[in-house]
Amino acid sequence: MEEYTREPCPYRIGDDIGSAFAMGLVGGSIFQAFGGYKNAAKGKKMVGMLREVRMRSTLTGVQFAAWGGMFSTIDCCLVAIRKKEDPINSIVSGGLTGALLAIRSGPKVMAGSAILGSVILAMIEGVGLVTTRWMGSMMDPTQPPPEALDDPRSLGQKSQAEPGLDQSRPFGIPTGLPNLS
Amino acid sequence: MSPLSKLLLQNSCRNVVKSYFLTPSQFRCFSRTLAALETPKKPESSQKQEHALQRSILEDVLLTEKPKPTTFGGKVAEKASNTFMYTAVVVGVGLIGAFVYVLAGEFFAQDSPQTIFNKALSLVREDGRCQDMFGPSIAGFGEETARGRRRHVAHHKYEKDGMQRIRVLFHVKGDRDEGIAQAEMEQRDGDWQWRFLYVETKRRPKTTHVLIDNR
Repeated sequence: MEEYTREPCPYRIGDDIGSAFAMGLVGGSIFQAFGGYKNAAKGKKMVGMLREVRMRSTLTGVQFAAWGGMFSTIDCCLVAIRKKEDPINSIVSGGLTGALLAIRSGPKVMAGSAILGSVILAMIEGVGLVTTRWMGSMMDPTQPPPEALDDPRSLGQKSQAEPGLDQSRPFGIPTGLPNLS
Repeated sequence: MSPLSKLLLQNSCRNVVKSYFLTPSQFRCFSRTLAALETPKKPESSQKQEHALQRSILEDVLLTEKPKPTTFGGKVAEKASNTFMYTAVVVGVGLIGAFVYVLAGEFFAQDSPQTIFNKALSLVREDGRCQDMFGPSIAGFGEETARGRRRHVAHHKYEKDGMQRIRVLFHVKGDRDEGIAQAEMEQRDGDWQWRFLYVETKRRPKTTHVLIDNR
């Protein structure tokens, strides 16, 4: 139970670094394989490709991990400061991550990379919103309309009619009694 | 170009070579020019090399110019391909713009779960009784995913008695306790209004505090 209810925040950073590294490793391997194959000498294509993948894809993975870890750290900081979790957090932290990782290239590059980061994160959030909002109805257009909910019981009994009098019952039996029918 | 001819081209000390006897100022100038010619410009050249090495693929693509077509057919083909590219870019930008517009409209709409969550959370934070129950600073978040994100606010949109309603559920947490807040809004005369908003502690015995009840 403790495991289930604990705060995700500081632990999430490690998860994100790991998953980003894995993503960069796989993607970088595929990407570098093409380049290595193209640039290798004739007759050594396979060897050149493998060497390129071995040497470069880990670097791509590390770069991805740096991005993911920075992003998650800033996201957690924002959650702690704002005490609220919403898409704005991730957009802002995407921009800040882009800026901070490009800090050695000067303000112009920082601004460009910040805009790029926030736009990418905004697009990811937007796609997430769209999938949660419209996917259900797109997958099954014949599904019935959402069922109506009753008022929660914790609010107690209250209706628009005069309190204590119910029109459906004779003699104005108070509604507080249990409904036996 | 030999150093001497370079020297001849220098503007500042033009009469250096012509005169046989050098005045001290001319001599100084002469030696300075020679020194400038002799010292190889190491830092600049190495910088240039670095730039050449660091040049990215994007720069290569942007800076290399294609040879212009000379034949009529080639010109027509180039124009056609340019037109096609421009249309593709315009269509793409338009699509992204429309997507962003629709998304922003959904996000900032009066009945979007995010908006209701924001309003309800600020109401809960300002409420004195809620501050007593949960602590002075109250955090609000939605349902947690497997990756530790808690951004998705649970909501249910339905119709009852001919009225559009949306119910939103989110979690609140303070220093003392944590709980669940439920809010419902109803569309009355085209305007979305609160139907109820209450918070309930998660721990038993559950304490309920109703902030708004407009049923």
